[in-house]
Amino acid sequence: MNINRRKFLHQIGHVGVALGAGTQLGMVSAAANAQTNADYCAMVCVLLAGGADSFNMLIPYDQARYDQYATTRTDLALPRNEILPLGFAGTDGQEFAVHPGMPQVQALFDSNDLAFVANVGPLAEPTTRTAIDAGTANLPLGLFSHSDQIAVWQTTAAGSRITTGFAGRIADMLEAQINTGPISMNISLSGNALFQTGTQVSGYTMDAEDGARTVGGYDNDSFRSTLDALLDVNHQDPFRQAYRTSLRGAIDSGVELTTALEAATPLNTTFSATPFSQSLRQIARVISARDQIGASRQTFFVTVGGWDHHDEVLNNQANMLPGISQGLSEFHAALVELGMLDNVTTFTISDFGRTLTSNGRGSDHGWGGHQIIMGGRLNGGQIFGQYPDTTIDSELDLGRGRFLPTTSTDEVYADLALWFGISPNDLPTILPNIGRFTDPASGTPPLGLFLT
Amino acid sequence: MSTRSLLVASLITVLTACGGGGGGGSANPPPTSITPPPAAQPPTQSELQAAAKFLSLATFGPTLEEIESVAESGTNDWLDTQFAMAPSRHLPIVVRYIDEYGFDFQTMPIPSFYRRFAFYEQALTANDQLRQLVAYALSQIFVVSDNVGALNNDPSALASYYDMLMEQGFGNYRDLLLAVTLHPAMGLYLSHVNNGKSDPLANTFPDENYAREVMQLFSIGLFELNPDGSVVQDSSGNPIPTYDNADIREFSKIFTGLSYGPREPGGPSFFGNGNPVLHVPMVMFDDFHEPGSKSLLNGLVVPDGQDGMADIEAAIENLFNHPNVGPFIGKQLIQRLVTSNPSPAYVTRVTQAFNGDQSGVRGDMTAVIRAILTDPEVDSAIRLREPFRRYLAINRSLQARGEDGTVPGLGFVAAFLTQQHVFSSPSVFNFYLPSFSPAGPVQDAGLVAPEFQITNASTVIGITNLIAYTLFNETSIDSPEELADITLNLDDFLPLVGDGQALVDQINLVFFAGDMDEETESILVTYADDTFAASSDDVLTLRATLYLALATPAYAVSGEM
Repeated sequence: MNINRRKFLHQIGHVGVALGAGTQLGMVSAAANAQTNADYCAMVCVLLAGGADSFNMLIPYDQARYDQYATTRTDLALPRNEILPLGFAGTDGQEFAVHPGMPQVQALFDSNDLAFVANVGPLAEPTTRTAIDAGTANLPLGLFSHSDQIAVWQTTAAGSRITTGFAGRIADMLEAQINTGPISMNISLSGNALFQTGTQVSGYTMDAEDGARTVGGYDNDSFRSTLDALLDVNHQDPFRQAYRTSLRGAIDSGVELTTALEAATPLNTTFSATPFSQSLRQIARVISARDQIGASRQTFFVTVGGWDHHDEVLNNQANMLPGISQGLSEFHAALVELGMLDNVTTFTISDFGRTLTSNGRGSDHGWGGHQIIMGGRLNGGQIFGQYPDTTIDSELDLGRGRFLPTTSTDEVYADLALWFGISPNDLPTILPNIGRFTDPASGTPPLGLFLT
Repeated sequence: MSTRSLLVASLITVLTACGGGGGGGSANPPPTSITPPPAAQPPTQSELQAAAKFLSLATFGPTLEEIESVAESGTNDWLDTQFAMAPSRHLPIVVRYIDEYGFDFQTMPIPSFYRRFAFYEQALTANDQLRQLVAYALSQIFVVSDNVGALNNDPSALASYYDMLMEQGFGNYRDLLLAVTLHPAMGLYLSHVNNGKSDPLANTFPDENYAREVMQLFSIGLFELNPDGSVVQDSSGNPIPTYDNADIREFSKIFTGLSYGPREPGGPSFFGNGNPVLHVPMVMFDDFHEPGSKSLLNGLVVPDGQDGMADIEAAIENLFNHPNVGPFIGKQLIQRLVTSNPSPAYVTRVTQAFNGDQSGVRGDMTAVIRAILTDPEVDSAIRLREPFRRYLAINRSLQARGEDGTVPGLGFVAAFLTQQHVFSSPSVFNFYLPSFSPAGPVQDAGLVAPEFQITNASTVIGITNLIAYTLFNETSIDSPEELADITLNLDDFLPLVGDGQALVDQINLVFFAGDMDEETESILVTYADDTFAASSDDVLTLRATLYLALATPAYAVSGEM
């Protein structure tokens, strides 16, 4: 990007001046924007696309379980003296550590602002290895396939192919009630997300670098009035109509959000230059402008791709996990600065866990894996769910160390939905399969992720 | 506001300053008269529009001259000529740049740019447009991506991969699938290069990556299909999987033992070579190939003791003969080339072409391509134009060139704004899934529209601004400053400025193939006439009119229901 950025600046010498003026616009006094957080909740979903090898992100640490892990993982095992132990003592002497590149995650866990959900994955219903071996189990469609499992993690309807996601269905229910402005309560930093797609709501998209984009020339009167007229043309063709709606909405939301962001107090927290950190910076800015935007509930979506490590899993994770850890820690700092730590919950999802056994250089597609969850209202410093016995051919091993999940995505999302303010009666609308795992009417969060 | 938005804003401001000052109109020369067409049977407007439609599907973007030529000669002649043309390869252009600028990552232009230059030069200037375009369509099915560093940095990797797709794209699908399997760019991307046999002592197993994706994405798909592309259902109404995880483990044994070939002909090569050679096919090292028999699909068992390459040939043959390939690959090619929602009958016709029902030759790609492009449904085809192809179409229809005839494009701006660029897919699943349907009128109509998966607030404005940069910039394609600036040829349009109707008619023909709706047309005519009256700068008037026209839903969507 650098070369081409330079070239643009070269081509239009005066833009540097204009950009300078743009940053000045942020210098609005804090007093002018008294913010409220009395009733604001946001969830931030981080998709580690490709199927992160999370068995090397959260690792058994007590000697007996570490030894078992190392025996199964062979050349993929991380040395015990390099992984970072967590301040956690489980039943039966269970201890855990995180990847050596994640010291910030270790610190956030130990300060109770972060937790893990162990061996979680999409399930069509509770099942057993025996039932699976016998071919009688009701299983998620397209098990072990990227495109299917990445979709099911977002739709959380493991037995079927549906076109709405968890946050999309929430927005279908809430958008009209809680959002007073034109900008969707569902905002993605990584393009269209099934997670945020509903039947009515399709979400708004920002760019990690540009933030809210606006159409060049739109501040020119004759150009704007002509473009507006062109976008007023009513097309019978559904493709043209869909495109018209998309461009019209993008222009209107972009203008609105740009104005809101310019009026919000600038953030002092600095973020790294990585796309992940810059995406989180944009999210923090939007949260800082929540009053101007006028939505009391928001969801955000960020994808970090490149986790399909059939090859070079150790080197690749050593390069990539530090960026996740660093980004989460920067976002945490920004939320502290904004006084919004209790109002925002951030969590990871990923296509699937991977085989514990090696293919000689990497690992292959699995099922259950471990996910991070971060926030101020969290029952932090915990490992939720059950970390599986990593012995080959153990009761959850479906071959090569592909683990049958012991916690379903529905259960994680049920806790999140209840925290977000969804009533127990509405849970089955948001989570069609939830009744297969818990009694939604009880109102009891199945995992207890949050402090009550 | 982004840098780029500011850029366009400043250009539009210039336009206003020219137009807004008043009194400029009377200084304009009268519109240049158009040369009358030759007396002998000029093509009718509907013949011209049909030719424009066909060429909008079969090229990266037609010029007026090409439209007029095909309107006279017909599409079948054009197809015959195209099928007979030798490929205009990308790798020789990479070599040309290496000769000229060396292979040094410390100096500009850096070597990883060369294959980008090769792509733009051939996509925009080569005459074998159909072959270039079919290879591009295949690059979205047999996906490799420059988001893998090694494939980005070595320009021979993706240039030779494109050349392979061009060569095999007009050959037989069986050879195409084998060539894809053995290409080192794919070996690196899906990690079957240096994939060794099982080691029970070390508790390691063959890599399953390629075994899975060659079935799921490159040949048969997840579920049994009917010849019309619909999913076969069992007695309970459920789809029937084409393979299970046990099959994947068997196929994973097949794809063991391959490593990079020799860098120079006759040179050394060895299994486990960590120094990628990315422009010659991978070679088999039988000592590292999984021994024993392997159970493949439909009851085929490859015997123990056969050498590794024979195993691979047998597995490719096994997949090639699966009845799913025709509808699975054929329907995706229809979607890439013609329409998002082909009827079952259209898919069936293409499946029959693939199966060789008439010719007796299974897998003949030219038969498949001809069936796709000459089908009666081409007339009613509807799809959202890919943003990257909108970008290419403007540059090709307006004959973007550097002064020396080269087109050293980088495409970074296009990729940044639209999230799309050749060989820059985020994963092996391409930029969009064939089944994607956006919520709203398309989904309500029961239709799919894959390209909408990368259409969102950020990219829909991104492509709009990219159209503006392309039209307004001193260089229509971003290229390193050290190389020639690329300019557009506006000669087919500039003489019409001053006659709004004639100008918009010409835009409608060349870019819209006549599919512009009347209301859009009338708004654009008024804008063109008003701006002409207010401005003395015909070039700016033309660019602004083109920008607005190409920003409309009527251009973004090819065809209309």
